[in-house]
Amino acid sequence: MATRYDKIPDWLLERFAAGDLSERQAKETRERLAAQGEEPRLAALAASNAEILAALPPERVVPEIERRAAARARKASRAVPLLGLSAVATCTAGLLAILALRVHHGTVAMPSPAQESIGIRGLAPSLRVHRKTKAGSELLAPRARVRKGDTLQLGYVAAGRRFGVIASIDARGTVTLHLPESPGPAAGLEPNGERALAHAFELDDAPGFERFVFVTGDAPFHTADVAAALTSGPPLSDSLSAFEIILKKETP
Amino acid sequence: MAVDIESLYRSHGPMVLRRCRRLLREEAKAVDAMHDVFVEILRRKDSLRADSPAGLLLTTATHVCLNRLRSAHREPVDQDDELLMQIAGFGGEGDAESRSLARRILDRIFAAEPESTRLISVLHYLDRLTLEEVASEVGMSVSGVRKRLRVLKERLPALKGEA
Repeated sequence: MATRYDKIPDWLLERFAAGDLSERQAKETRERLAAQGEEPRLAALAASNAEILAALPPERVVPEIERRAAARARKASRAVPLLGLSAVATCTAGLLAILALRVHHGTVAMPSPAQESIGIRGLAPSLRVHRKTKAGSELLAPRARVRKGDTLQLGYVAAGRRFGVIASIDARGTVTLHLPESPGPAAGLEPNGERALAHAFELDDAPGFERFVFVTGDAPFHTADVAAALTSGPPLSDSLSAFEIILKKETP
Repeated sequence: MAVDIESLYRSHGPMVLRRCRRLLREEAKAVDAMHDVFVEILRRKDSLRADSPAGLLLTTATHVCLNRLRSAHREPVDQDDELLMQIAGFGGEGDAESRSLARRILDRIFAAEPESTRLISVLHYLDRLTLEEVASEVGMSVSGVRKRLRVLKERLPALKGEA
């Protein structure tokens, strides 16, 4: 094969440096590197490796990877009874929470005057639920009928709010966090436009309904505030707004 | 295969971060995406091949970053970035005037186009791999790769290349 003199793509160089190429590919890459005097690129990769591992050591990165993986697994199994309550208690509490949220903010939350000056005038935060279809996707209206196996993609419009939590609760009282994906501080929101969450998900076989809430605020708050409001805890603080969508579950 | 995530991160983490930096152009987003690449690897540990973990990690990083770019609303920083964002969004249907950007993005997330078409496009148009090299990376024939790129080129006429 004739020697090639074009620059070796970073992709192949990375694989070469990682010892990932076949013997034939590795030989060809070595020859190209030598022919082009590009061996310093390998030294630069080694230096970059050391720099990155010093800045982001495994002791810091690996626990975060494991935390995310565990959160993803919990979400996938849809068995995340965050507060560990019995089914009956959580169902009752869920209904109470619906009332609490509605009494507090209405079904579609409106910003208080103080918030309005920070938010985007004329817009309230909202939650969008899209369902995968053969042709693409469809936006679901409140109380739309859904069924087990439907793939849903959540999106939000922050309308200027800075922090948010998206959670859902089903008729069994199972609370699932969608944003952030694990308990902790509310997520920082992208202020403008509709933003899709990173992952779509498939509905499980929980009967009755699936209720989604999008709680937003201009100051940091915690997912526990939302989980508490969704069950038997105190209602949301006045500084928070809640938007909700309930979807009806069809029984196959 | 069993995955020792710590040793995999030590040996390949910097490579994954460089890939995410290249595609996302923002350090914080690249670091965040890098974590998710390893989460994906843990999730799909059965598909990890002992003989070519770097290839799988680079491929996974590309998919993770393309997914991020699809939901991003930012201006491209240069021509390569603009190209990448077009490829990331590839798969939705036209009529840009009547549909919101966000809606089109969501349609693209759910589009039926094989995910590998985006990977092929990035490898060829952005990473500058030849058709033969791309074919070798994705385990397809050169004619198969050329066909996929032709479909993309028809939809995104701004693309230039030998496909």
